[in-house]
Amino acid sequence: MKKAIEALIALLFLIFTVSGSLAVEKMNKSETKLIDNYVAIFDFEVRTGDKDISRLLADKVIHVFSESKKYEVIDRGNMNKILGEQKFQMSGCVAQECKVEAGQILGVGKIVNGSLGIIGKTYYLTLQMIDVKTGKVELSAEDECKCEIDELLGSTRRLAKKLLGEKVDQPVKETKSSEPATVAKAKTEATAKSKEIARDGRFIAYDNGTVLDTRTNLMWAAKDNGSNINWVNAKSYCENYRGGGYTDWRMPTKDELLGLYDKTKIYKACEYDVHLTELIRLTCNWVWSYETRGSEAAYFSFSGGDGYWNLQSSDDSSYLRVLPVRSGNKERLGAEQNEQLQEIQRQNKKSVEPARITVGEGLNIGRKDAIKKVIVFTDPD
Amino acid sequence: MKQIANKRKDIVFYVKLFPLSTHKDAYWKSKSIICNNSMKLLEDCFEGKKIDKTECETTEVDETLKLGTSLGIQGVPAIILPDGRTHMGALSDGELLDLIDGKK
Repeated sequence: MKKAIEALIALLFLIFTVSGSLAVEKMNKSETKLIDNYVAIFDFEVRTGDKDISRLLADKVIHVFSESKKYEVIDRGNMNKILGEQKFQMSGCVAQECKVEAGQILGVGKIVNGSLGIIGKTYYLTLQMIDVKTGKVELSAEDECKCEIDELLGSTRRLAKKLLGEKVDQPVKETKSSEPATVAKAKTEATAKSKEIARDGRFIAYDNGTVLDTRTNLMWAAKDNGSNINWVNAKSYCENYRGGGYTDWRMPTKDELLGLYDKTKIYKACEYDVHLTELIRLTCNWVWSYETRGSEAAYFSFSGGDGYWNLQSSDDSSYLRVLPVRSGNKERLGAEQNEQLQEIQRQNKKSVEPARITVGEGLNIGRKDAIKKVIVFTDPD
Repeated sequence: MKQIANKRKDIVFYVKLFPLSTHKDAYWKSKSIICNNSMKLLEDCFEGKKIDKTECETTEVDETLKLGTSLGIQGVPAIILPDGRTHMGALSDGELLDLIDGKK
């Protein structure tokens, strides 16, 4: 009997100890320090046939949030790394609670969750900012887009700005009879300081080494950096570029580079065809863009008109270049220019999503647009 | 190949699975790799790791066998160079680059 009582006491002690340690563990998890101005932006939940667009839309939101500087955006690479270390599976994590849990593990104050659906021919986009501590939706914005799928980027951009409480420019229809005011302003700004030396359709070259794109109102350096460069140095090159005496040069986005691509133009650089106005001279056809994904950054090929990913630290043999750009009126693209850029993209009829580098992911190793194609027959056994 | 592709952005390797009849598991392994479109699985095979059998509708392996046979390939690795030349047998990275660049 005494032994039975002793055994019961031991059992009760064990139960209390185990439940106690579980409680401590639970408490630790709920007490994870969350940093309020850090935000994790998840891939969109896409309820249409085009699942591939999910990441692209999220990339657009990331871009707008990063630009706004209101929040520190956790980059996707770090996100995956931290969640991976905690053995947290993002695939299948669709419910809000699940994403909040991911946010807790990441230690962010907010998460941003987007969705895309379609009814008839109209796309419906929603974007929500959720407080990780309370699990409540703090802000929500929605947008409708009776449009082609490639126009969803503009819609997503507006939505993200709306969520951030920033001024959202409504799309302005271009009137062909008059020149947009911002273009006129940029022209005035450029011509006031320099002399026009050449024209090629919508492009005007000036003697201060700049080229104005009158359709998008972007001002480009007339030539690239001239040699192999990795992404970090490329970014720094742009920020320190002082062409035409301007100090607000930056790296172009992949959308902006795509907007320059013109299949009807052609010249040669490092043995490749470059489809671009001759007023802007590249010394090789691959150009870094601003977008990053973990340790990789996107670049654009002016041969094929496609985007790709490459390691940011890619060594000097990578043939990559950078072409600084600045907004003619010192503002990032407004709705007016965005519309025009989208029009150019529609004309190009190309996806702006960089194709994933196939190394380790498919049965091709290397870039799809590489000029030297080697076929290797092998046997797995 | 990965090292070459990482360094040289002008080169891409297309890997074709050509299971030799003398290797009894090579055919189903090839099909499984194709079904999963996974270079990782191929690497696992090269390292002698076991892989799971995956079934799917694909004629890719059969087509590769036909293509390889029509090109006179009887062993692996067999390499078709950008200029159309073929090379049978393994090579070091340097030797392979010389062939690709037409230096040999």
